[in-house]
Amino acid sequence: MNELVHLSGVTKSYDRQAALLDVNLDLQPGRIVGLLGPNGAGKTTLIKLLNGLLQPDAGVVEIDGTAPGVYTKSIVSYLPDRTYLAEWMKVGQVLDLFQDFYADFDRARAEAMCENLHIAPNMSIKTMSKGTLEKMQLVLVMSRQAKLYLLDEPIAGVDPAARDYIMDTILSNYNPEGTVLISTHLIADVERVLDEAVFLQEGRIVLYDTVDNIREREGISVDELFRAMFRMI
Amino acid sequence: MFGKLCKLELRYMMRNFLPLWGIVLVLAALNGFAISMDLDSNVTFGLLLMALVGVLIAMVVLCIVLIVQRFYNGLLKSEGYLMFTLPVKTGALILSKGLAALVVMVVSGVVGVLAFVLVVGRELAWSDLAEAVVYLFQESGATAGDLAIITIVTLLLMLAAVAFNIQMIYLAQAIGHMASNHRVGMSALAYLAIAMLLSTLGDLASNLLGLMNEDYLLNVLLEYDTLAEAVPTIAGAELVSAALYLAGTVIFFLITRYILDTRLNLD
Repeated sequence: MNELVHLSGVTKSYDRQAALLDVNLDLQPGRIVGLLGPNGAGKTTLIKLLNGLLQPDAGVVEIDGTAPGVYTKSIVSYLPDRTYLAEWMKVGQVLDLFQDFYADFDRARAEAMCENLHIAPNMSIKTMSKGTLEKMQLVLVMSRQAKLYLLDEPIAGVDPAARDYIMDTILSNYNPEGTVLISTHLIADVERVLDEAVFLQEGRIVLYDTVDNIREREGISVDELFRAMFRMI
Repeated sequence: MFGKLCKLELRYMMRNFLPLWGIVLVLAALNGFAISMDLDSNVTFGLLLMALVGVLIAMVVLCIVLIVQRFYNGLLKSEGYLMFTLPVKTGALILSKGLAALVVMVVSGVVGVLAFVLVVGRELAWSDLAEAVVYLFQESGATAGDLAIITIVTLLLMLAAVAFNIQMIYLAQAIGHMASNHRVGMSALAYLAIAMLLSTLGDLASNLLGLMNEDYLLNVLLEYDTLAEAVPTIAGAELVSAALYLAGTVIFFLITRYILDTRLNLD
């Protein structure tokens, strides 16, 4: 029982419409896991449950043996699928905030990454372009030595060059002893880095295996399998 | 962590209020100067006075708007994704916002009083006023201690009332957040519903306690020969009111925290 993430019988509905149905999942430490599924499959709901941003209707959610709460939030680094930084803040103030609240935040690393991206400490969040803002958030999230990284659609809506930057930043900065859970429907761009894949369809886990096993068993790439499975949907 | 949350909230509030407080005091000083120079029939004075009144109204409006906005934008919209994933308890998030709002309200009140003093201060015969107060108290038999007690208890009551109203705004927004759609409208409706419920409960309690007679309080106070004798009753009534406000604040806080802990559903 050394699962970093443990989900058992998890169900979540919105207005009687099920988003997750009886989900069971155990993730070990030190893996890069793809949470893969078409839009509306329940990926964001699952990540929100792990963050404590939603409560399950039924079932158990645990991270490092604990229900989402103050402790789990101190070991989880979360990149949401939207901008969550306050517009009135400057970059330096955002770095102060992360340094104040997260003991595992590496400020020097964050400052170095900001410098590489030409993001000055006195730059206002309000004046940032969408792309710069997304990179800024990624810098913040990947500058933590977290046990679990929850990255919700980190490469959705960005150009291929930015996707490469994002994937490289994730790979070169994550804590190797921690687990990275990346939700996406753009499999081809993440497949090369994945150890495991979780296929989510209409709120249910329909496949969970290592990427090597999937390729060996199916004789095709994970991306090809994904396209085959969800083509008719 | 709570201190850091308070620092964050106060930093935002001060960004907006420090310039406004400065403008209020400068305009008040200019008005006071114009009065002392007998320029109060001048057009410029009229404009200065209008500007001061306008800024004072803006200060009151901004207080209310920011109390609503900091809770709504800071917790229930996209910023909530950051705030609710910080390693702090939900109660600390709510309290830090409430405390910052309380500080802003109190300082705004103090700035308002200071502005009044700056406007009429030069013209007011402070020594005469002090003598009048002392005379009034001596005649009524009240002591400086009585005055201090009434002042402290009144300030406590005002603080409790402000905290209560801030928490009521937060609760209404938390209830509105539970709706799937039209959350702002639902928050406004929730606020009205809470206000009506409180009003009904107040009437019910008054009826039960026989306080509905409008002359009740007057009759109670008339039983005393001097103001000094009435001080314990007045202070006691104010303390009971403050305690009720504080109890209401705690209840509203607990319900708000429960909703955000169990029913949070950010857009």
